[in-house]
Amino acid sequence: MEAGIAASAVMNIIDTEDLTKVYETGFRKGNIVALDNVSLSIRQGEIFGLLGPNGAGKTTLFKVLLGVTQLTSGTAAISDLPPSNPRSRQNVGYLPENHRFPDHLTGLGLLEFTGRLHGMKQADIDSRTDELFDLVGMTRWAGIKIRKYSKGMTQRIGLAQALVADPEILLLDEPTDGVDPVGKIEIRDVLQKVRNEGKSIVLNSHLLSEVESVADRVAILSKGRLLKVGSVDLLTSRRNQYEVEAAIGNKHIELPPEMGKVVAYTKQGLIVELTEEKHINHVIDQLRRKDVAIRSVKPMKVSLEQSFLETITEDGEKPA
Amino acid sequence: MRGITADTVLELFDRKVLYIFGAVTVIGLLSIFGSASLNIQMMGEGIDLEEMNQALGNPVLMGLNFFMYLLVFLATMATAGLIPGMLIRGRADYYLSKPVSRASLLLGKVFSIWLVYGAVMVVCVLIEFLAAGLMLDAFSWGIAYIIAINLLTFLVWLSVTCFAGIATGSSGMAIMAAFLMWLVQRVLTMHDALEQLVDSPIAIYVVDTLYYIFPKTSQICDLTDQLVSGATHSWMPLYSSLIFAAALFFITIVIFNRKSY
Repeated sequence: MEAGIAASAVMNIIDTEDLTKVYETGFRKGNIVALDNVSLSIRQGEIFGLLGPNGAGKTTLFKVLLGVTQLTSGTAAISDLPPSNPRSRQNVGYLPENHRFPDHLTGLGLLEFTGRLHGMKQADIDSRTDELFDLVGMTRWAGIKIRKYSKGMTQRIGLAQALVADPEILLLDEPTDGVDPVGKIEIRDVLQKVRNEGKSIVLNSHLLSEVESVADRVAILSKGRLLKVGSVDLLTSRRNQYEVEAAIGNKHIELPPEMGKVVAYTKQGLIVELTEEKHINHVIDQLRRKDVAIRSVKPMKVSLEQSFLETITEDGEKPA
Repeated sequence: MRGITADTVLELFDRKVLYIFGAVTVIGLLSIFGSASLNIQMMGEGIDLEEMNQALGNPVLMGLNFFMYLLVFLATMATAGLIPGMLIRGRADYYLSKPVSRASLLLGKVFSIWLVYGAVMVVCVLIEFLAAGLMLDAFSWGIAYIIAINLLTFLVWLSVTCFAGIATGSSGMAIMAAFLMWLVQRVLTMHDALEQLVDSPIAIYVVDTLYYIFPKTSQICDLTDQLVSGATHSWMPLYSSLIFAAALFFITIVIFNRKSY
């Protein structure tokens, strides 16, 4: 039983292997490689953040997974089904970037239409729409045509249509684009609620702080290539850098070069960079010998934004 | 399918094209009222209307056939942009990300357009038919031919606009393709006369082949006239046009399935 739980806990809901998408831009202009051998797995029940500068291939990845755009080579699958199989999208809710929903519909009409495209029964649609309008705070506007909505309102209704079929997987492309700060918090709460129901969310956002606050794992894409994948903790931790909080005053410590070096002395103490994790004991020993009170020792962390900028700069991309 | 049909109905009301169909119907009704007063005048002058009707075939039904042919033209223009409109940037993502195959989505939309706009045309022509029946005593089952054949003609036009819309992604191109097709089929209708003008057997062969391949909507209109007036007729223009439409729908689906949005 436990093995079963463990197996289901790591089950992938999205898989890509050597996924490549090349856009043919026409004679003389050359081709654009939007995705370059991207191999990625997204697990069930996690919030996965896709980061990358403009043109990194994040939206193309969504489009390929959903069969909106044809892949050039490699494989892609949602719930083990290829994008060419419409059933692969049965359990997927999608909020596209720069969407233009059919504007002859009202908000309610859009949700009903989406439900019908998912093969839902009218009774199920009716019960679901009330709940969703309430969830995204759009009950007052349900009967108004979409063309009269503000940008923030279309984002909210877009999120609602992505949720209408109660999907297991949500693909959200810039979900908070154009939404006011209160709306952003509300959308973040909705995402947490959806995640608590055991659903998976793949989030493509330029707002790194937003991704940092909700995502379990992130991938960094640049020029179509996958540069890094890992947990937010892993990506934001400085490898072998430690911040030692201690009343060090004017005292100094010496580290043999083979162990590492002191990066900086701060008001709180010092920052050391070690060649191996175990050398932190040597630092602590020295401080104790010098009778310095140690308050804490913790691995150095940077913001996801900093980590992202460093990654794409290493790749030769100019940060905006 | 039901969802797409309901959506097409909402789209019809939103686009206000019903006003155009309404205006054309009103003009048709005024023509019928005008014809009725002309009839009374002619009867007063001792002209035998029944004799004249026999000589002309069935002018009232032929008039209704022309009226529905006009409605088909209007519906073709009104609907040419619907499929490219579904696939504009930002909207294609919405439609194509749903668990529906592209072929079902496209055929569902085409069938919905045919059904919804076809229903509007049928209502318009039935209003004219009732008015003509009451004012000119022209009730005839020939109206069934007019409705059925013109609805099939509409399907042929839809195949052309759908193909151009998918291939180019442009509403304008879809309208232009319909115009071009109308022009070509009109020229090819005169294939016998054209063959008299050219000496080359290859040119004659090409013109002849194109004539049989391309749809023949003008000749379908003539066929309906022949049917309602009881004249001799050939079904060839109708079935060859329907074969053309079926082939074009097939090609359109193949192109649509391969396209990236």
